[in-house]
Amino acid sequence: MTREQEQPKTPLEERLDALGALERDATPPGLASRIAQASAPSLRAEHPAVIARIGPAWASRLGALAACLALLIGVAALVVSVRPGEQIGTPTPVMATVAADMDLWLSLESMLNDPLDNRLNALHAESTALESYGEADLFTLELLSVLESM
Amino acid sequence: MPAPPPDDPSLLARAAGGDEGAWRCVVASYAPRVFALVRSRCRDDDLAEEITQAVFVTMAEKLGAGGYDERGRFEAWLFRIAMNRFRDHARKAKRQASPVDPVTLDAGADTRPGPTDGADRPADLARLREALGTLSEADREIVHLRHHAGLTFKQIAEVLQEPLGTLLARHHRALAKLRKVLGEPDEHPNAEHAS
Repeated sequence: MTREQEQPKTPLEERLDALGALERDATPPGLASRIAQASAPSLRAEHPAVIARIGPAWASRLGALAACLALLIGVAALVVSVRPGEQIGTPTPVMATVAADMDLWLSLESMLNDPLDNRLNALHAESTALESYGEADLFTLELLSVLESM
Repeated sequence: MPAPPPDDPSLLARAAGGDEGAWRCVVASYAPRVFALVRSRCRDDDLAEEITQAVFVTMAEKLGAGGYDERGRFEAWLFRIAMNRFRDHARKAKRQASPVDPVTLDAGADTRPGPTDGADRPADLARLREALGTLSEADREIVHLRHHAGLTFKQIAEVLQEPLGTLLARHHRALAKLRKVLGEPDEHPNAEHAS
């Protein structure tokens, strides 16, 4: 018995206890058996769930492992495909054209820096080459004609 | 008040393991007290049975899943579930503005027939029931947990998660108010000063 239960109760507390006893006595017949029957499956319902919780955990771990493996394989494939010193890809026709244009412009620039150095003949030869090249734009040809007229 | 059933760990363990006999024993021991508490709160037999059933389903789920870890405080744990279930229902009833709101019914004087209405029912118990309706919700909760559910003050403190001294003081004030409403003199004048 606890200390508080040993203390004598006042008449009002005894009447409240009696009222509480009336409430408990008012329990409908068969209440406990109905509740026990309805709630008993809940006792067992969680047991399979323990196993079920293991399943998703393993599945998620397996999925994470597969993702890691896929990532590693991808990185390894990238490392193997790109060797040191190896040029990635081969020169395309477009790249070759651009390189040729760059060379032409560089030579033109050197001539423009010294236009009076008897280079007009060479410039004429270049313009002829450009015409034969067929890829030079009109601006380049016009520029060359201006230079020729100087 | 009946002697509270023992908080038997082996009985609970067997029930948690799926022993239906042990579970029936647990339910038979505690269902009347849970029902009395909930019925005193909502004044509706059908609703009280529904909530009581929900309490034991919750309890069974937690026991079955190994979620009960409050050794030695089983009753406090059980009645905390009961109070939470009742509060959940009260909140829903308030939101839905039900025409039969149990909280509203509980707050007012109880005019429904009592469980033992008849020629032999003491009239002062009916007056006492009506006087309980004048208490605040919080004070009435303590009186119901103490006298209807049969919990000790320590257990009530665990259920409501309040200091024991606060509960003792509130219970004392609640009884003083009841005596005032009933027009009765103080039974323990010295106790007023002690608390």
